[in-house]
Amino acid sequence: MNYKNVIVIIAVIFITACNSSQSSETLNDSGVTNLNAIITALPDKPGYASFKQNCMSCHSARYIQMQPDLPEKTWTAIVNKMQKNFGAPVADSSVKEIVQYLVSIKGKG
Amino acid sequence: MWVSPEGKDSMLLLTDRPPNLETPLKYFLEDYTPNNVFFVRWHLSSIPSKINIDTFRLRVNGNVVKPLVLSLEDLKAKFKPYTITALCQCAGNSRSFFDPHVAGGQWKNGAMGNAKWTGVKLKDILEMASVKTGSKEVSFNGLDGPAMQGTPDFIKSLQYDHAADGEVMIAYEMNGDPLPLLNGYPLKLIVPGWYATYWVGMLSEVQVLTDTFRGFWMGKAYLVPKDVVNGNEKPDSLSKNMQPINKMDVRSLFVSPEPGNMVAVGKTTDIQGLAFDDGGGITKVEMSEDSGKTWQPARLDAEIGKYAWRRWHYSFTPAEKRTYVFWVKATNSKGLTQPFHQWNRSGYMRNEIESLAINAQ
Repeated sequence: MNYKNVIVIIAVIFITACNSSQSSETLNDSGVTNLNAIITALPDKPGYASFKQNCMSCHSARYIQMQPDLPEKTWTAIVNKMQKNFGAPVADSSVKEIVQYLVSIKGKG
Repeated sequence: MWVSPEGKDSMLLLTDRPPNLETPLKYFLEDYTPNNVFFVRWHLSSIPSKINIDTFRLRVNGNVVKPLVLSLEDLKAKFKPYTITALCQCAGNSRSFFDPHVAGGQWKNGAMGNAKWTGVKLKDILEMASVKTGSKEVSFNGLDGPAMQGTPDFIKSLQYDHAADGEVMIAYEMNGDPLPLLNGYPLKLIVPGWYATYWVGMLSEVQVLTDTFRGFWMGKAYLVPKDVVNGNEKPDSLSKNMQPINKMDVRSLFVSPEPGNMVAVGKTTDIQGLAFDDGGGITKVEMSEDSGKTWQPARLDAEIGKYAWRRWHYSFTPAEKRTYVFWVKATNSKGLTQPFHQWNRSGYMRNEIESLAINAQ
């Protein structure tokens, strides 16, 4: 085992994590950036507040941006799965709002 | 989008939390995928950003006479080192190509990599722990955790006989170096021939079980239609009989030239790519220039390992300026090959016959 390498890797990751708040890099599809400095925002449409509150502890904005456009039925099934199978503390009253938001940014048909 | 987190060179970013990074195609020109561009896939958003190797321990417990608490030094000093070359491919590799589209990580072909893994056979560790009779499965847990209390921890399991087969191992090195943190430092479970969902990173607990493990990540996630070739099902009639995903199916893909690259008329181009399966062995790779009506053999490079990928080449000299479309298909020693069309609800086990359009100028 090469301890020196490991310590360097750990130190660098740690330093990067500490520095991330100082970075002001913006989303750029061709540039090289730092994983810890990625800040993405999603469209501010009805339901965004509820979406942020309920979904973004586990999923970054980018995870949602990456998803294909899906029908409302599929988004409803996904939100229900997060609630029932993944233990997301989403109130039943918020489900509709979240689905509505997802459909407005990644909806289909 | 491209990113360079520390310890990683430029990679394709799928998502930042949890980190999911894809290897750009050009790195597959190398037989061993460099550690600094090896794909990264985590499920849960709470991942340690550093590991203290002095206090890190691997715990082996459950249905054993002597539970073990092992440091990295113990693994190196008390066991015989073992090295295997094996391809690690995400169950959802190439998910973005399924039609109709399915939700989940939208990988292209870069959720895979081939490496030389060095560590300890799980069999040797289980022997040291003196496994009791009646052992049915072994479960594997890493240091990653959920952000929400109710989210199931990422734990996978294997049948006991598989876990103790002398090939399943715990790696502390990847291509001769410690694993990058994002690839599961300091220990990763290696399950040759099986999809990467079983290759648990930051492995910290191995539990021998007397019953079937029923955790979420085996019972509800990573399921495919049971006993169906290529995990196929139809969007309008989903399979009701499901089983945990397991061995990799037969696959071949193009590496070079890349889509959009130009080749010169009258000049010979080396079309090359990779083929692999679950360890049965690739026996044949074929190319078609007429949408699968006729097939010509590609040349296979020497095998670099039973569980590694195998490189193939096909020399092509375009006679005129136009677009040529090639299809590629692999066959393994069991006679298994690739389907013309494939789909399943989760976008797993993609191995549909691939095509590549080559523009000759």
